[in-house]
Amino acid sequence: MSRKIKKSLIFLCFIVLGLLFSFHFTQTTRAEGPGGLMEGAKTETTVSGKGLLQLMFAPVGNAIIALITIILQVLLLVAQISLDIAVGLLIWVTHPDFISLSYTNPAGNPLLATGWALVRNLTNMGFVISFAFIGLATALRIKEYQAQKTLLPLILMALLVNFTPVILGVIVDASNILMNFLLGEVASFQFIADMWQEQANIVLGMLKALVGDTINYESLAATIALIIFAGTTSFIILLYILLFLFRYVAIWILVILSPLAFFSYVLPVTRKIWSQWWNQFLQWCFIGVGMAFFLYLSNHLLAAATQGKITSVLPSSEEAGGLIETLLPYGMIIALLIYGLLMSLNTSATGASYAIKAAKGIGKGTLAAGATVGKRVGRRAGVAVGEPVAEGLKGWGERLRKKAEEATPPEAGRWQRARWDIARGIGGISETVGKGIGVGVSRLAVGRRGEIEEKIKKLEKFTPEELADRYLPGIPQTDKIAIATLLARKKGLKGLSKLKGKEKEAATLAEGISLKYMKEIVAADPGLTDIERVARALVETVKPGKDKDEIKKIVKELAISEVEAIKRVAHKRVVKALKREKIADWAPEIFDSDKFLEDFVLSKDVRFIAEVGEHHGQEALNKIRAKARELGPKRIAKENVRLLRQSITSPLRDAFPALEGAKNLKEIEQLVGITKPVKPKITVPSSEEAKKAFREQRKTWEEEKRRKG
Amino acid sequence: MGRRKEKERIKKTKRKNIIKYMPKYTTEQILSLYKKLSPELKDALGTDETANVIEDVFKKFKLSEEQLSKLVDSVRDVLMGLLPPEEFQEVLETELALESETAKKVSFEINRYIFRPVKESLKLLYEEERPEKEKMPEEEEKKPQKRNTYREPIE
Repeated sequence: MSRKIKKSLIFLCFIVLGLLFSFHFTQTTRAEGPGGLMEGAKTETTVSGKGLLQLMFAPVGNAIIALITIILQVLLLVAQISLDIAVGLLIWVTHPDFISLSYTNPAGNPLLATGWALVRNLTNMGFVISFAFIGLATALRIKEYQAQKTLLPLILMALLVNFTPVILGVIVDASNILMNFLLGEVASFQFIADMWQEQANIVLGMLKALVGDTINYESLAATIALIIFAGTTSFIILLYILLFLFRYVAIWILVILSPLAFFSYVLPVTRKIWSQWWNQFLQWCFIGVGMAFFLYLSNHLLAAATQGKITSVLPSSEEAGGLIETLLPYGMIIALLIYGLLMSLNTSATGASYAIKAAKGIGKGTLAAGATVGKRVGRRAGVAVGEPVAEGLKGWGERLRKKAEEATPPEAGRWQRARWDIARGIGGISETVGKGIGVGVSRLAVGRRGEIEEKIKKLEKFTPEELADRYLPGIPQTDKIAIATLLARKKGLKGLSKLKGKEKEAATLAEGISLKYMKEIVAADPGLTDIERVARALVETVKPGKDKDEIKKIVKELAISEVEAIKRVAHKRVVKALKREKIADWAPEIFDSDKFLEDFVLSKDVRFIAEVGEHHGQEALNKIRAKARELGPKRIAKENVRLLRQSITSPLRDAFPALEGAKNLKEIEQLVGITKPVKPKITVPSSEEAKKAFREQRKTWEEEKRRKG
Repeated sequence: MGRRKEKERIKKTKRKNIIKYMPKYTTEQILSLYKKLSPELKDALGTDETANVIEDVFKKFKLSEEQLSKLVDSVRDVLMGLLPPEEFQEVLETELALESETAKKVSFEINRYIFRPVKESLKLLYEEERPEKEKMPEEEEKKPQKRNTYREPIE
């Protein structure tokens, strides 16, 4: 069709429609005018108000509308059929029996059986390699990859990898149950039958209008609306079908890749993949639930719309507003379906992130619970695998290096010499690596606590000065920890201060190997809680969760960072745990620390203070008292009321005299808020008064009786 | 009349003697004494139980804050070897100005719950503080050993 003809056709259409609408509005205005004045006159006026133009054009107009409607009915038929097909496909795709292949069980799905098994085997190889890598990282002291951090996840994941279909099956089943429930309600798709009925109504309405004396365009409008609705809905449903179909495939792919995802949790560098995979998996599981929900909702709304609004034939005299009323429910349902499609993606993503957060919480708990078991198992496993590897590597390297050293003849040429040099180098490296793995493995195997304890026994004969001299940069970590622990045990802070600043290193090393020794070292010097790792270990590992509220409170009250709050709590805990028997071993510098004095006053009793006075003299006592005055009785009453009471009633109160504001027991009780509530006085009337009142009451009753007669 | 006067005179002298035992000590002096005490007595001084007994007595006998302070000092003095336990009741009467009946009851409570559990330690503490002269006669009493006729001479 040429461009000119097209343009003229469009122009013609506009003219026809313009004429039709102008006649319609002329007719309605005339009809309404007198009707507004007198009730019941509407029909009369309509009949009497018929213009010549209307009488001439009504049949013509209706005929044109009928023609256009009939042409559009073909289009509507196509749209309806496509909608039928789309809905049929949707019902088929979402039916639980659509695919007999299992989502997660390799036994019920040959694709999974092959793919999952292959990936799992590859992952198992990855576990072996990463095990060796962890050994190396431990030997080379690469913090992030040391056995303490990575070995437990490695063992856990190596076990879990074999159960991924079961774990994932639970999640997929849960989402499917929810989805099938919602889709079960949608499955009937009653609205399609209603739509066919609606089309029949339109045709009938159109035929009726042909013989009428008014122009009826409702059938045309309904046809256009239904075409748009059926076309758009079938397209959206097609998208839904595609998503439902791809959901199957996506879950299969993710299940096949699950061993790799679980493996990626082991090393910090790959841990991101693990969270990404989980995000994807949960998203694809729950995307079905979201879509099913919106289908369910739109299906019910459409059923209501077709029954109430659209199927009812509009009166011929209805205004233009009726057209919008006819179209709006369809538009709303289309919008809802589109919205559902978009939202289901977003909602499932959000849901996935929530689920991941929750899973993290559960995971933390599980890891903490499994930590003890894992450590033990890991050590044993480490011996079984690591020891022969280390020995082999070490032996081979040593042999190669020796051979290279012996075999290099003095008269050898430059190239020959270089070759042996390379061989010697490789041998040396292998030997070192082997030794490193060996050391790492032996640490895992023997258990470093045992190793440290043995070293402590060996070192016990040395004086603190000799021990401090033995603390050299090159010595093994366990030696450093053993020396520091022994110094702390023997001479407390006095002993530890002989290390001249190296106690921080010792505490950090001990934290990485054994909390027992770390605690011993820190007990001699509470100031070591300044090391974040040490503080965290004390607060989060020794008594996890116990101090969470206190940390939050400190962060809020003092407006400090969480790390600082953790350090404070750890310091407090260490000071609280200090033993009286060790006071003599405290270095005098300890009383120069404000933090120490504060925690001391807030946790210790008069006896402890008296002993401090005994060993460290009046100066130390003065510092403690000054700190107590600075803190004030209110603060002390809040955290250590026992000390305040003792300052009044203990025979040792000379060590800690009563503070201003807490000079007697009454004042202390007021500070704590134990003031007894005053009982309200109840006045009981005497027997005489009661008798008198009763007599008066009887008199009034008798008088009332008489009146009633 | 003469008897009553005599009694009052005796009481006054006793009070003077007691006051001699109740001087004000500095913290340093107290701490130096504390150092020398046995662990048992240190425990008795520092334990919460002692403080609680004193508090209970304070409440039970409705003592004033000043009396409480003096009671605490008296208990400390007894446990540190500065005031013999036998004189404790007298101090309660004179220093705390308690009636003899109340002083007796207070003394009984304190003795029962604070001093009696460390009776042996207190005994040792006050024995050590006796002047050496008192111990001398025991040494003098030792008789020279007689020659044992049944023993063979060693040569």
